[in-house]
Amino acid sequence: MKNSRKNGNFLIGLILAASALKWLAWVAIVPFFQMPDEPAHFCYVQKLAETSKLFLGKADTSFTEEVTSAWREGGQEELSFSRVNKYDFAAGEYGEYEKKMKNAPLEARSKLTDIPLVPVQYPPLYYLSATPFYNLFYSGNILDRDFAVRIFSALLGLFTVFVVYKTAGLIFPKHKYVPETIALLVSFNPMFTFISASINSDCLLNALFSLFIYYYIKICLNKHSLKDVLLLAAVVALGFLTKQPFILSLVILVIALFFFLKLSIKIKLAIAAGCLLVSTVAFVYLSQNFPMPVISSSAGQFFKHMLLKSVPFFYFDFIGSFFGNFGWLDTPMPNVILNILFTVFYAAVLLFLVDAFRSFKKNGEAFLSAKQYMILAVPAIIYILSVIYIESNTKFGLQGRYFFPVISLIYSCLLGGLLSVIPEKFRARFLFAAAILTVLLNMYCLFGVIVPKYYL
Amino acid sequence: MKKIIIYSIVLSALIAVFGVYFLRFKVTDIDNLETRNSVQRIPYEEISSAGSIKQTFRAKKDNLAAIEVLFGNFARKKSEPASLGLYKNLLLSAFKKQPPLKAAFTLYDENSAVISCQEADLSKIKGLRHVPFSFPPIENAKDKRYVFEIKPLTQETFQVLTLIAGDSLNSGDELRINGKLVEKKKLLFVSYVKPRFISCDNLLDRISQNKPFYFKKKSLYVLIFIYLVGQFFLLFYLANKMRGAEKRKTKKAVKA
Repeated sequence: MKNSRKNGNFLIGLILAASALKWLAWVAIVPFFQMPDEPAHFCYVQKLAETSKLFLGKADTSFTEEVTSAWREGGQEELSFSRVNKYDFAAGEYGEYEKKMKNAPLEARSKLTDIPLVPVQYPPLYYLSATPFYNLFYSGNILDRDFAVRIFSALLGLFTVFVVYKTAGLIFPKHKYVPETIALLVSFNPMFTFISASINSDCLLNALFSLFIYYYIKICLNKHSLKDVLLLAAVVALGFLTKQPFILSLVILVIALFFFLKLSIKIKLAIAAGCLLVSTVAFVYLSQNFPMPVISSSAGQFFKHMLLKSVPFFYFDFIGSFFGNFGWLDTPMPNVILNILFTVFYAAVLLFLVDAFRSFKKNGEAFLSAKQYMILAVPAIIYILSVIYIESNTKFGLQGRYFFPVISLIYSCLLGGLLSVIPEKFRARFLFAAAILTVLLNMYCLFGVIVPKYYL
Repeated sequence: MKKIIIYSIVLSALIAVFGVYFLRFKVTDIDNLETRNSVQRIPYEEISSAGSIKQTFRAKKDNLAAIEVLFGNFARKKSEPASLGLYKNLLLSAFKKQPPLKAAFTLYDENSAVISCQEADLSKIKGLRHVPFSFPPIENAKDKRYVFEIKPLTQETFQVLTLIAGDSLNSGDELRINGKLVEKKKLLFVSYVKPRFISCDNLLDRISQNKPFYFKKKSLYVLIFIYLVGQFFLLFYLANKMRGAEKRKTKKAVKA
């Protein structure tokens, strides 16, 4: 038993070490500002670092001159959204614009342009936490500061992988190598790697939501201590200061409260009322600065958009943007790989549903118990349906990466589904084979997709 | 464990040595970038086999060797006008299409002399796709004007194939649809120069550009080497575990 735990600890340590190196390589190789909305998120960090403010006001809702100039004159604009454009490379290690960039005046960091900066509507926690990394290279040029903030995001990615490992440990306590494999599959998911190497408040959202899921499962499955409850509350509070979707955590908690926890009805009602109060306060007082998802479409438009855009998205675009469509969604993986991933993903979903159904039948032999499946499925379903609901109202355009906050649940369900049909004697081999293929896929995406797209 | 460490280091070192001394990468540098400034929807007439699309451009470098044009193919109802596309804010001008759709691509020099003419099968385009047209490299192309023409060769039906245009930034770039000038617009296309081969060192030079001082070439060499060691170590360890799992099962089976 001791030996097995030692092996498991070594394996997760190895996965984290290899993940750290992988993230450093991705941070270094993906070109400057060629990650979704990176200029805007970087600009937010810059504003907080340059002004030492905690919250930004309406006067700050535009890009700075330094970022705009790097975006436009540095050739970044032409690269974005184009599958064919490339830098006009100079000879040697320094690009043409780089020499100019180095002499950018300090005032350009705070001087505003008239281009609106959308992320200012997000709460500030991610951006505030990133400022020490920005300040570490304060005397350097925009490249030094931008890539330093990317490293901060990569650290958050690494933390998320560790949390996913701990969460999978709660769900699969008796299944050898399953928690380590889930952590590896998440870490080496090419799109998760890509997003966690970018400057984006989603990195902190993914980390905190995964931590929320960990405490949620810990409290639902095991005996809960006061410490766990307080930590859960702290995570939710931090989540509210990170991004609006965190409000969904309260919905998940209330449902868990009534269905999975053995508490007196008075306590349940009191906690539910508390959650309702917090969400109301958030809606009323925070909506000015941090707009919450509200109903903005008519019922007809809502259902039309849902049926014609949101639901078909899961057939046409989900796999691409969940596993790997890099740059500004202009650098997809080859179709052959996407087709394989599509087949495996939806086969796993189907197997998960069959096994979950089996777990509800009396004397049915399922991979996980009905309670475990319920605890896994409830937050995943609430999150996924809510994202569809918000999309059908606000039409912001769905992407697979928006589901990363529940990535620990998605991978647990998928792997649970697949393992339910694999005989026990082949399970370890299957897990290692899946892990090896995922690491190879990650390496291929970096050197076979990203490097040729931008540099060859 | 020691074996795995040694294997990972040796394999990474071999790849590094092979990469540095022997590996060459084919690069295709861009001559004209695809400019997507202010693409917007402007109704335009369809192009039948009697008409054509002509785009003038100036080559920025020598050895002009290929052009890639962005085509789109979206389903269209019979009742919809030709200019209507599913993509918002794009200028769409349409070929009428009957599979197999064929078009003639012709490149002219500034004196309207034909440099290259070829037929392209555009039937398999779904959604948006860049279609390449390559020709023998033009050595002294820099600063000279060229015109490429796309002319449909097939009969009309109700399906459309579309071409997309944005604002033209250069005054000399002319777009003509069925002979008529479309003011200040330019097709979405790129032109390439002749492909060449570069070493691993040159590739790292390219990756180093627009990077901070801590990710310049020397650090990149070290980082990529350590990255390879780390990934190979993980892969070998997992493969070893997989083999171990297999052996344990066999032993159990033998015992049983």
